[in-house]
Amino acid sequence: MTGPLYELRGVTVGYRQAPVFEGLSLDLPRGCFTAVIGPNGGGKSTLLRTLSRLLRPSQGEVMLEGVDLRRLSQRDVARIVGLVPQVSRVDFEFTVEDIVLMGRYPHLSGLQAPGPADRRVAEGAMAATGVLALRERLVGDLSGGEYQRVLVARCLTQEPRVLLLDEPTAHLDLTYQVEILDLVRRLNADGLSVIAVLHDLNLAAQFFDDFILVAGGRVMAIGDSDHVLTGDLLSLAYGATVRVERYELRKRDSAWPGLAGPGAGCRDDRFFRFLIERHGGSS
Amino acid sequence: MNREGTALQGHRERLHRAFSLGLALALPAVIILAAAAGPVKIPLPEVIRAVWDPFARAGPGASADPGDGGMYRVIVTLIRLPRAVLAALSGAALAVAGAAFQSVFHNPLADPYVLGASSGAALGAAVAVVANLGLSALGVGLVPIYAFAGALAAVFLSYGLARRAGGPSPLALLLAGVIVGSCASAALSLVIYFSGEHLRQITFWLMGGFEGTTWRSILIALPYLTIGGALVFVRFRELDALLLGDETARGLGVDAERIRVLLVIGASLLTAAAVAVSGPIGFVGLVVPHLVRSVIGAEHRRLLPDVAMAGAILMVAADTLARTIIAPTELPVGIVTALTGGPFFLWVLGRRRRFHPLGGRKAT
Repeated sequence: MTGPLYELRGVTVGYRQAPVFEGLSLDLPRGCFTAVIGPNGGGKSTLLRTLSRLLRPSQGEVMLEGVDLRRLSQRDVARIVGLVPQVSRVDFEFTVEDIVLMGRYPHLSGLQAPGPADRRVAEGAMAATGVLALRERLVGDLSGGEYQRVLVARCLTQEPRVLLLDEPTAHLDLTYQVEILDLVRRLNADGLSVIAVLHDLNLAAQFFDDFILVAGGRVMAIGDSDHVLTGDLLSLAYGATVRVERYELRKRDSAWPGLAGPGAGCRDDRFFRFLIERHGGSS
Repeated sequence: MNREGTALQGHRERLHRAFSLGLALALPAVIILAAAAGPVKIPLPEVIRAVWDPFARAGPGASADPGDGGMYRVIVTLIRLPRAVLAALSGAALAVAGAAFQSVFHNPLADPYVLGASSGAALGAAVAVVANLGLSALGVGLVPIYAFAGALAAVFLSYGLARRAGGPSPLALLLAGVIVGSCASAALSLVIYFSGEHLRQITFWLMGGFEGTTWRSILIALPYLTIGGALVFVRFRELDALLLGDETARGLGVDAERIRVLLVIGASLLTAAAVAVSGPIGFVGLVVPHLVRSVIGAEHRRLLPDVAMAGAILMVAADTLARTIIAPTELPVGIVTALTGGPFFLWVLGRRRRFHPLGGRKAT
């Protein structure tokens, strides 16, 4: 149980003829709670897809717990890594329980159907994500927040050691955004490594320990908020002047300036504000 | 909460069991009714007696058997029963192929007609008949082989086209399938145009139907149906995952590209076998999976057996209707399935609140 979770060495990866990353190297520690941030088209999702073996590097190697991803099958990876893809709803008549039980599929073989032990794992995951009461509902009838939690429950049912999330808060109302991030924060406290692509800098800053800033096919910075969430780096990444205001808060500071109020999992010792300075224009 | 959940789970299981049991009882019933119905009405006890012991006095000596009993037996065992059984097999094959195509391309409008599978199969079979290629070898009928080659060529052509156009998205695949299907249909017209002596035979076959079915037709189709069915049925878990899209399926450890090819081969075999013996018959592959899903849900372990039985029942009923409704003239069964299946499908669409014809929907 030592050594990094992921090691990327000289990875060139992308789509068809156009590589997004060239010669990318980075390490991610076990138990990390890391947000991948950066502008659209900068390579956030490409990085996540590389970590989950959905994209295979044309050069270099991706090591997961010391094993080259190329030596693992998609099934092997699915037993270690749970991927919560961007929400895309398909309204075939699956119930919540059907969807969650699919998380056992990487552990089943041949003509095996999920058995009582598999059902218990799925029930545990549904309980942890608060969707147990919805188990018989058709997924098409769920709200966005409920559906997102069902997808997390399916991933937990895979019993993974790593959780990868692609824009888990996209399309969600503010309360659901906080709810989902609280949930993964708790799971991280229980030992799960979490790497999430996040669009929203404020949410990322509020909840996450470490950050990977990705822009223009390069990892511009990796580390904690002191190292990554700086005006200079963000300005460079987003191609606009970004001013960062950072507030240190004492515990139990009552006047918490966040919009939704702090959730159980969010860090309540600091608060960021990201301001884009406008150029030109009359106002 | 937990107990309520378990109770609901029990309710769903019971519903599924009741539905499966109903289908399992309805299938033999509808086959027996099909054997009784027709220009010569045969009393049900006679049908059941003949079915119970089909080879007792059938065969060459049967016509010498005096009285109605012998005649009934001949009609049932040599004409109506093989016809009903083939209709059942063909309906089951098309319905299962439809369910597989819908999952593999995570598209609710997919069926054996998408990707030009049916048209390709028809073209392959027609070319084989017209060109008088070897139609059997070692007692095994080979028409399904040519149909299979045609179906597979059409599917992979569609697939290749869609990939070239920027990745095999469901929409690109559907469009490519329409194009390939049209080309195959045009080529088929060309073949028919030059078919000469085979014109009547092919035209009749293209209308789709089970007239003139013998036990031999069933023997021809059976090996292909078995292999194709096995290829699809053993992948019930992967079918669930693929229905949710490639990214999700791969996240669940499914090697989506490879499994898709295997499933397409299986579904094409099923389509080809059905098309080879009965001509292209539409709508069964589209409608039946939706119907069954709306009752018992989408999980393929439960879905596939019920889809097969429901497809069989529907096809036997449609064929019986086709040959009795304006007797003594027979309608092509494809007309019956299209005329009843089309409006019925629209009705199902209208009833469902959330139906998205192009599959998937981004939550916004």
